[in-house]
Amino acid sequence: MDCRKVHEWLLQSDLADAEAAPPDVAAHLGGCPECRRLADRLRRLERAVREMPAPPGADEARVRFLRGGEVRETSSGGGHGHAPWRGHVPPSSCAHGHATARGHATQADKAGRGTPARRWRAAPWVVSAAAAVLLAAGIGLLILWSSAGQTAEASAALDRMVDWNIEMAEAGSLDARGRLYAAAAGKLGRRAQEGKWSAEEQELAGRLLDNGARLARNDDPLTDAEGFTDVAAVLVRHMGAAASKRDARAMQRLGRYYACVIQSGVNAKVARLLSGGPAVAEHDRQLEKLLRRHAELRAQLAQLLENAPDASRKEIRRALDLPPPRHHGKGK
Amino acid sequence: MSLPDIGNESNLCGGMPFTEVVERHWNAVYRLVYRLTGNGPDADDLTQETFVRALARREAFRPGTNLRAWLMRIASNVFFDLERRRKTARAVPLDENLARGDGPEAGPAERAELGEVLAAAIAQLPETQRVVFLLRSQEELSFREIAAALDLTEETARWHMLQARRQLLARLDGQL
Repeated sequence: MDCRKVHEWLLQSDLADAEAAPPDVAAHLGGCPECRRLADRLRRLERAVREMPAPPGADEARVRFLRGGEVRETSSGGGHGHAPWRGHVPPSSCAHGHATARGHATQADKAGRGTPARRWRAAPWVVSAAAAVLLAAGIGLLILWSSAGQTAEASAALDRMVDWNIEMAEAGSLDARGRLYAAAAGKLGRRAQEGKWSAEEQELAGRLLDNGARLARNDDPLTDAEGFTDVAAVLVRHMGAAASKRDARAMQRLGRYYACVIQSGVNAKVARLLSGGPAVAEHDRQLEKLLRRHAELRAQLAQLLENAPDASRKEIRRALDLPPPRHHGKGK
Repeated sequence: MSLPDIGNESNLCGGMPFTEVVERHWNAVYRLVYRLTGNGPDADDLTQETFVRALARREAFRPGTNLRAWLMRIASNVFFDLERRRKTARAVPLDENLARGDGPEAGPAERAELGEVLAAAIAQLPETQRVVFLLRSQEELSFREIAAALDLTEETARWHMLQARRQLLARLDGQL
């Protein structure tokens, strides 16, 4: 039997009973390293599927379903027929114009069932690099973004999504994050799906919803910071598109989102990491990678400076005037 | 649509109260449709729709056969119905945007855990391949059960699996 036929057999097999392969396939596998590698890769693929994390929200959705009520969400409080989370989200919040990080009234759920933050302390060079990079990017960026398709409804929904991400990031426990997610994810997702939004608005909404799902699964500060960095990267790219279209209003909004995301979603998480216990080498490596990404974002903003209208250059320069991070060795 | 009958203990499915059917099989159905759609809101809706249909059609279930496979069949059809509606409406589902990973922030192979990379790769499979792959690899249905669920021959179900695995291995090259 040749390799092509064995590959076809493997790719269509149940794999669970690979040991029950026909004699000619088994004989070929015994003598062919390449086909054995394929079999191993398929087993790893199967294992990876089984090890994928459970999707968030299943239990809450089941409880809602069994309690009865409307199948389609209609209430503004979120959830299907009832609002299991009674915490109040203040209307004036980060994305609505308050660019500073703030706490909010959550349910008193400090039962500590959430995964505690990994406590570690980075080396001094990491601390100063983090401070320089992360502070640099969060202040008053005003670059043009096309307002075509930027309806008031899309703006309001995206404001809410950014706030919702920040609320989850600031929630006291993983359970609290899960409730916040369950309360709003469905409604926000539908608003994005059903609204006549531009491709950029859809993309940003998708990234915020994806980050929301990630926040609901995990409350590790570094993971949070990485997720918000993903959001920041989308915002910078959209700023680039807006710069070429000279949309000052869109730039103002994107800049506000960017400030919220960096200050509350990244800076706050890195600060939490740095206030912990002994350094862990792997965390240092991950944080270094995060800082490199921010350095790349700064480079993109610097490139935008070339194309930005005069009114925006001052804002970009202010953000870029801070010293860049240094990545060489630990300690100084 | 309201759901007044869910808690009615006289509603049996395969000899089991329907609430127990929900308790036992909800998470598996949710997991399947979540991987198929790539997002929570759709998973919520499709899972509900699956069990609503199952309740309405409970008389059609043959006791002694695989209840989970029957529910997976309903869930698959609910998913295909959604995709058909979306294509008709010419909408771009958020999950496709997520899966494409356009733009400089798309570098999941570098940063994300294998699970996230795998989820994104699965989301890019054509619909039938995606369903077959997940029913076999995640839900561990036999190819015969998959064929019955999707009104295919077993040979065709295996062919879709071959294509799905081939694409996933290509996309995950270096990760596995």
